[in-house]
Amino acid sequence: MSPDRRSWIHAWLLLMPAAIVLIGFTYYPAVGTVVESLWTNGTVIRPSKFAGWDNYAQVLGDPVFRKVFRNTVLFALGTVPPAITLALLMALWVNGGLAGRALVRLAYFTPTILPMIAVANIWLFFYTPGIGLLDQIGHGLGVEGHNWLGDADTALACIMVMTVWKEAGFFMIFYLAALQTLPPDLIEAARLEGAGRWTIFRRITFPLLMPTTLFVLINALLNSFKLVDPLFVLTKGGPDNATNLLLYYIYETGFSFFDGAYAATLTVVLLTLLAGIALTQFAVLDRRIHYR
Amino acid sequence: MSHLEIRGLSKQWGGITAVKEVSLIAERGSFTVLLGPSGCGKSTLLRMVAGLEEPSAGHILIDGRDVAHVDPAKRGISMVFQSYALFPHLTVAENITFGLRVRKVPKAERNRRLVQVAELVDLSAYLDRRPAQLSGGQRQRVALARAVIAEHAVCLMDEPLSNLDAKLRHAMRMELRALQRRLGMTVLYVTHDQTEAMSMADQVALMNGGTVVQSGPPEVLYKDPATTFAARFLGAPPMNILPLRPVMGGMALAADPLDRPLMRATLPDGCALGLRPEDLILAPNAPQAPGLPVSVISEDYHGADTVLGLRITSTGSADPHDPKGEILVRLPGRVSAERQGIQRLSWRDDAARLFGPDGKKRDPSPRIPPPQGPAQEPE
Repeated sequence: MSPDRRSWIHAWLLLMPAAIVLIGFTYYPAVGTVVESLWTNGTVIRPSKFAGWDNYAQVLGDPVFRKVFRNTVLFALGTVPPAITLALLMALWVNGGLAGRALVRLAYFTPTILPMIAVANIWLFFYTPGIGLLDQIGHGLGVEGHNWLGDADTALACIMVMTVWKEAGFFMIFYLAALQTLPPDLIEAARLEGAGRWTIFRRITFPLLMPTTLFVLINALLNSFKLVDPLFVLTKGGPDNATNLLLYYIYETGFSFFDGAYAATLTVVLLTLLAGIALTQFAVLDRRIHYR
Repeated sequence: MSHLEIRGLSKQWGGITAVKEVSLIAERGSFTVLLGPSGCGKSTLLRMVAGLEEPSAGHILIDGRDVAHVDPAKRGISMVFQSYALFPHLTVAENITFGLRVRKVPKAERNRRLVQVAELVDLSAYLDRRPAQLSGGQRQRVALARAVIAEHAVCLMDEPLSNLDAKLRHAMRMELRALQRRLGMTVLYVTHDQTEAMSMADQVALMNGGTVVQSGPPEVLYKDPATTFAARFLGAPPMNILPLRPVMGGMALAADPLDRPLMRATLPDGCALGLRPEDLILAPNAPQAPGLPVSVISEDYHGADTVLGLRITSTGSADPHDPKGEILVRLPGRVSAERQGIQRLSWRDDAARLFGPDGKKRDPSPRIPPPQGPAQEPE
C-alpha cells in the first residue's frame, strides 16, 4: 500500500466518528425531511406516493398555517426588539460604577439559568385567573380578574412578555462583554471634544456595539422562530390557535395528527425562512457594520 | 494661544499619593515636557489638567481662569492619546471633525477647517479611509489633526509617539515640533523618553515619586542636574555618580584603592562626584602622565562613538567581571582600547558636579579640577 493511500485511510478513520454522528443525526434527517415533503403521507391502506409540490400548495391554502405564521411574525416583532433594547439598557446600567452591581448582574442573568419549562410554570402562576399573582394584585387595586391566557386577545402578549423576561438577561451578557472591551480612551476622547452622554452613546458606543447587536439580533430572531417549550405548559397553542407558533404547529401536525409528510413540508418551509432571515441580516447589516 | 499654570496640584487614591503638590508654569506657545519613569505621576498630572481625573487639591489655571473642577469640554484643551483613541467606525474626516460636529459648527466652516488641517498634517489623500486602513504614522497624524482643528488654547499629549517604530518616531518628533512652532500651540507633553524631551522641549519638568524634581530648559537639566536622580535619568549612558570618601588630605573616590585625594576640602560622608561620560578624557599610560590609572573592563560600540567601562586600578589587574564601581566613558568613533593595559583617566575642566549625601547638588559647589600632574604611581 502506498504511503499516500495509507494516509488517506487514516484521515477517513479519524473523521469517521464525527461523520457517523453528523450523517446519522443531521444530514440524513435533513435530506429525509426534504424527500418526505415531496411524498404523500403513507398509511397501511394507502401507501405513500410521489406528490410533487402538492404538500407545498397545501401550505399556501392552509388557514391554520396562515394564522400560525402571522402569530410567529407578531411574536418575533413583539419579543426581539424589546428584548434587545432591554438587554442593552441593562448592560449599560450594570457596566457603570453601580453599588452592588455584581448582585444586579446576577439578578438580570438568573432567568437565563432557569429551564424554559420552569419559567413557564412560574409565569403560569402569575397569569392564572383568580388566584394568580396578576389577579391578586388586581384585586388589591380593585380591578376585575382576567383570564390572561384564556383570552385570545391577551394570550400571545402574555407569552411575549415572559419570553422577553427570559431572554433579555442572556443578551445582556453579550452586550456587557462588548462594553468592557471598548477602550476607555475613546469615551474620554469624545468627552474632551464636548460630547454628552447621549451623543457618546449614539455616535460612539452604539455603532461600536453593532457587531454584538447583529449577533444578538440573529440569535433572538432564530430563537423566536424556534420557541416551543412554554406552549406545552401554558396554552397548547390555544385558544383557537391564538398562541400557536410555527414549531408547535409542526409538532402538532407530526405527533398529534400523525401527518408526517405535511409536518416535513412545514419544517422545510420553516428552515427556508430561518436561512433567509440569517442571510438577509448578514448581507444587509454586514455592509453597514464596522468590524474591528 | 494660552498660558497654563499648575499650582500645588495633588492627587490621592485612597492612601496612595500619585501627585504631590506639583506647581508648574507653561508659557504661551511653549512646549513643556513632563518627563519621568513609569509610575512617577506624570500621566495622572496630565489627566488632571485634561479633566479626566479630579484633583484632590490645587489649581489649574488657563489664562488665569481656574479650571480645576470645570467640565473637560469647557476647559479649552485638546488631547492626543497614547493609543490615539481614534473612532474605528468613522472615517478620517469624521474623526477629525468629530468635535466640531458635536459643537454644532456649521458644515461649511467644518469643511474649510478640515481641508486646512488635513493639508497641514499631510492627510488630504486619506480623508475617506477608516483608521484600520492607515499606517501607525498616519493614525498619529489623524490624532494630531483632531487636536489641532479644535483651535484650542492648550494641547495635551500623552506619550503620543510611543507606539511608533524608532525611525518614524524621529520623523514625527521633527514634524510635531515644527507644527507646534508654526501654530504657536501651548503643549504639555508626557513621555518617559528622554530623547523626546531633549529634542522637543522648551521646558522639561522631570518628575519622580509624584513631585517635580527639577524643571527648566533641557540643556540646563542636562548640564546642571539638581539631584543624582536627574543626573542619572538624563543622558545615555547616564552620568557617572562616583561616591567620595574622606582620606588623608581631602576627599578621594571611594572606588580608588590608593586613596589619592582629588580635593583638599573635607565633605560629609556620602557625597558623590558626578561626571558625564563624554566629559571624561582617556590618555595612554606614561610614567609621569596625569590622571587616575584605570583599566578597561567593557566596550560597547555604537557606531558614532564607543562607550568604555573603566575601573580605577592599583595594579592594572582589575577583575573584568565585576561591574561594580564601573566608570563609563564615551569616546568618538571606534576605540579599540587595549583591554589589559592601564590608561589614564581625567576630565574636562568644570565637568565635575558634586552631590551631597541627600542626593541634591551641593551649593555652592566647589570646583573639582581633573587630577593634575603626575599622579602617584602604583608601586
